Amino acid sequence: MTSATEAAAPAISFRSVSKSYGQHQVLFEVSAVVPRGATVAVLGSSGSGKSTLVRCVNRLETFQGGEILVGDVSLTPAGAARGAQKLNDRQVAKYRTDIGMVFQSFNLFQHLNVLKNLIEAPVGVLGWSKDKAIDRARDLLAKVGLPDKQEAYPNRLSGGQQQRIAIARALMMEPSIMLFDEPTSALDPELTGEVLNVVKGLALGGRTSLIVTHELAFARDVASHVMVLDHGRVTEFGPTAEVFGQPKSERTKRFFQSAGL
Amino acid sequence: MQRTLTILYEFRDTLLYGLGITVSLSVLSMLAALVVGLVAALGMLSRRRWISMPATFYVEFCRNTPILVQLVWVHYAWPEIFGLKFTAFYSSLVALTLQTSGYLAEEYRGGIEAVDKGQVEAAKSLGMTHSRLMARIVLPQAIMRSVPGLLNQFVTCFKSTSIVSVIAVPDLMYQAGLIVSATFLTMPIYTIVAIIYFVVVFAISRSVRWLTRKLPTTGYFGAAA
Repeated sequence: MTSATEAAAPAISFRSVSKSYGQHQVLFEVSAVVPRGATVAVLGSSGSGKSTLVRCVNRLETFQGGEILVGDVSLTPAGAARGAQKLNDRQVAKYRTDIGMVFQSFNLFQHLNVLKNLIEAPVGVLGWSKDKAIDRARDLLAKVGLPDKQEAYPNRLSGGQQQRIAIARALMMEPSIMLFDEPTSALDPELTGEVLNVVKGLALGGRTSLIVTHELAFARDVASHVMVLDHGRVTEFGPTAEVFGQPKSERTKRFFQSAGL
Repeated sequence: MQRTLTILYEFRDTLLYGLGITVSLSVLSMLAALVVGLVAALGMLSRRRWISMPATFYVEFCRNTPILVQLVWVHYAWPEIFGLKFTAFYSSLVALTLQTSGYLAEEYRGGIEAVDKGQVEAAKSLGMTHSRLMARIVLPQAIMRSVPGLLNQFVTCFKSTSIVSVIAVPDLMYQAGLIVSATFLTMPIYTIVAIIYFVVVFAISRSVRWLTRKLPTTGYFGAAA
């Protein structure tokens, strides 16, 4: 793909997105254009609205102002639409199949073993044959380094293992966009590395990814772009080298310095 | 004592028949209530008000009217209100199902609401529709969680059956009354009936407790054991 077509067809465009919970406004006219294939690290202190912004992309959250364009789908306060066609619940569900999400708290299905966690949606939602789903599941389990955990139930696994399974589960759907909502924040420091390695080695390649994270070193290492949010406003957005090299705001500078970068 | 045992032996078929009615009423109404209660619980949790309001009204009505009133109402008022006339046995079955389904709906609802919202979000993010994620993710876990509560309601249901004797359903209690009127042995007969109820209910509740403890050793409850 040439850079011209990338510019022509961004993967995700945030256009003046605003959101409030009651009186409390959490996003203020957030605008940013995410090129296709970009890996965007979304940084900011707790409560800056990073998770909320990312959750708006697959409509786990709604918002009160602005628009988010994802491919040919337009998300607005009024709902989701493709062209002039408003999407119903079933179509929104379908829309989500192309957007993988990894949560802070893993959220594996507790009543299903690892293999069933992985094949549930591909078989039930995408209509894959069970054989095809199992093949892909085995392949992904090997890639996340857990080939022997097929039969295990989630509550028998460490947090790091659960998160690697959760990543594999999202990748089963072969989504073109991946959202990571603080994938390592619930993990002990010694387990963070194994998850970040999986993200880096497996989840990113070729996809558009938004990664909400507090791991600045990881962001600098893997992200093509960095977005910094501060109290619901975008204070920085651009290629990683630029943002880390010459942050625009004093606050971001101090934020990076405090992390020892 | 000797005489009591003789009489007990003489009327054993009468009592056993009554016990049979009591057991069938409680088992059948429990089975019906397991289904009706689940439907009512799903109705209460529906996002559509025209479903959730009547479902909530149904459940509140069932839980907040005495079983005796429900029984008499179904048996004597339904023929006029709905044109539905049942035999005493079926009226009892309907009344017990009403009462029990109200309680079971609450048990189910508690189970459904206890399922971690994160899993629901994960299911949505994988493209599952609301009905699919309820059927595949929420309900299997909710029902497993509800099992102890559901079983306990069976105990209550079993005890409630004794009320059906007022509309002449020949359950254990009614049969005891028949024997008393034939023999005038009020004290021994009713004492024996009390003992029979106690033994059966105690056996059921102990089994429930045993089953409840047994549950966590299989499947995903493994780590909780």
